[in-house]
Amino acid sequence: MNQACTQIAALHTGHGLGLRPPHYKDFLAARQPVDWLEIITDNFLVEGGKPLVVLDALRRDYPMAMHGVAMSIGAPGSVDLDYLLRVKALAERIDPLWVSDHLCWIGPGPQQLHDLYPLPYTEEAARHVITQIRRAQDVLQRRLVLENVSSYLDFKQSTASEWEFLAHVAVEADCLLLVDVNNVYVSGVNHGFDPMHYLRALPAGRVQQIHLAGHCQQGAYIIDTHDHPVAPAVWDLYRQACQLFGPVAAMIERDANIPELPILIDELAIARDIARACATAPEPLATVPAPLRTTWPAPQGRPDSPRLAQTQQTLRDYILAPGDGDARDAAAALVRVRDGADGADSSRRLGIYHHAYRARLVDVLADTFAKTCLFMGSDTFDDDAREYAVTHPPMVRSLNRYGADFPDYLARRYPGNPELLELARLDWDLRTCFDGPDAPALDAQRAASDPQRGWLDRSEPLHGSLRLRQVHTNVVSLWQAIDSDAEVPEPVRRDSATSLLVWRKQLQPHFQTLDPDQARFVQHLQAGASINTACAELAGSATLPDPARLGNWLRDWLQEGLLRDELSS
Amino acid sequence: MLSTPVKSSSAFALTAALLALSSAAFAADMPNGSTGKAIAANDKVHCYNVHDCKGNSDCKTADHSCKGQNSCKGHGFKAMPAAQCLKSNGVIGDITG
Repeated sequence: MNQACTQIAALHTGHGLGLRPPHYKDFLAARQPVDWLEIITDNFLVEGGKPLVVLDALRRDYPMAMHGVAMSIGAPGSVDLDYLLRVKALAERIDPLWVSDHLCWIGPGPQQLHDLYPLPYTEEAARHVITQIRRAQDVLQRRLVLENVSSYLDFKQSTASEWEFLAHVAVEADCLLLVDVNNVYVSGVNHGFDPMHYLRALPAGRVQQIHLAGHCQQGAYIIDTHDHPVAPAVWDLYRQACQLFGPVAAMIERDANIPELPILIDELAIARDIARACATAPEPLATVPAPLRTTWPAPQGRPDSPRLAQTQQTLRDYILAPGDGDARDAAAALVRVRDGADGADSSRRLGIYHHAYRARLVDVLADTFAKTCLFMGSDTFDDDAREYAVTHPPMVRSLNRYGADFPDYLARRYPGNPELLELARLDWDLRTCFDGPDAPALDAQRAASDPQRGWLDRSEPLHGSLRLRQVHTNVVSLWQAIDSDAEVPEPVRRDSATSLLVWRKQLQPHFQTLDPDQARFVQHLQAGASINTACAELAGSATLPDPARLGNWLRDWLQEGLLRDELSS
Repeated sequence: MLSTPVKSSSAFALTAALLALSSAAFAADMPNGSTGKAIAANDKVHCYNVHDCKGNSDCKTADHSCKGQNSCKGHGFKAMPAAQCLKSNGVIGDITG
């Protein structure tokens, strides 16, 4: 039997949606007519907090597929073991239908540029990704499902087509495929190939899932923006894919301009209708699937082809450099120019990636530093965030921890605006405690249930989420005014410091200023002292003249969850 | 009781704990000490979805900045020359007590 016809993917049908935050409340409130949900794995590779609570609640109602964007299986070197173990731990938590990522690279390492970059389709690249996929599958102890990315450039050094490469890799690495028919269409238009030719080349028995999404036209190219309904031409291609691959699980991805959930559910009904029509009245295929090629095409005499790592570094250098100049020319030398295209074609193709890198990270920083962005205004913020993206490329695989140095960057950029540094730090503290580790807090009931009051002797008694900073401006008033869309007061600086506490109470980040006496006491606790030890230092002083004052503080701390509890045995 | 001198630091803390845990402490309208009020950073800040797999086209960037918020004009930020400091020793609105 032809390998193309062997059914290897687990049979799973049905239609799902990509889970996105604007729809959390709809999915939590009532059972929605979707067969399963797909999560973006990386948004849930967090230590704790609300994302995982929402995930667990939704998992009780819906089967879930995991779809990652940061495995970077095509990066030079070995696939990141630590990342794989985090993916594996999440898979153990939610028992997904399958685990997918993309056949691409997101950075040459150590920088992770967080775009989905295409590979050169060479024997070297194929051998490398096959080894990495096998390694990842060994760690994950399951077959990986890999998706074809949409692309805006291809490499001169390629000796095979994308579909030949994908089919070869899937068979040799023994992995499964997530066929994004929108990506096939987008790349088909951008590179001038027939999408049907692509689909026919794939091993149908390895197709585990199909993605559908919308795109937008920009000049001569199509950009895979996921911000529109699925285009008619993509529905046509989905119909063909249903004929070729039989019943396969399919879903719609919407990542921007996200409509109300019922609109997406209506759109999903179109997919259901197409799949149903194919199942009940299969049309004879115009042509039989292409026989699968498992041997690599003979090298076509390109001894000077750059190595995979070199190609990726050249592209990285270009992405991080200004849009013109030597770095651009070096990258343009790698890019295949279309027949009949003008001389600027490769620059325009490269420019799409150049722009996307900055746009993505500006979005990430605007999300993390939400109040700072609103305070500065998006024009100013975007300029600074863009500059930061170029001078501080992400070294992290999780973008929720991108921007650790952004407050200090702003402080250097605007030395006359200390309020900006403090506002950005507050944004950062709130974000990082939002999805930081879960830890039980001591409440009044638990405290009262311990007749020995052992918690008074506990060293390092503060809750793990707590951070204490010294501020010199009215940053809290600024934050509150921005939050409530009120008139923002004049930034004010004063010489003495105020203590600002940030912590997470259950799932919600909180913050408050402390009066100087309380701050002094809390600083002792932060240094590791137990409450008793801090009392030994401070009781009877002006800071803590009598037990009533500490009693008030303790009452607040127990109410607000500022003290840690130990897990009950 | 409060006027009695407290002999040791642990007795001091125990007395404080007793006050904190007394039944009155559970009243919902308990005054919140002399410190700034705890402020919850609400969900609209933390919609949380930084990873996606979409492309970014030039035409979209302006719409995506400060997403979900109703204004992108800026709320009071004025870049100050380093020499010209903010108004010093002004009243800080954050401290309520």
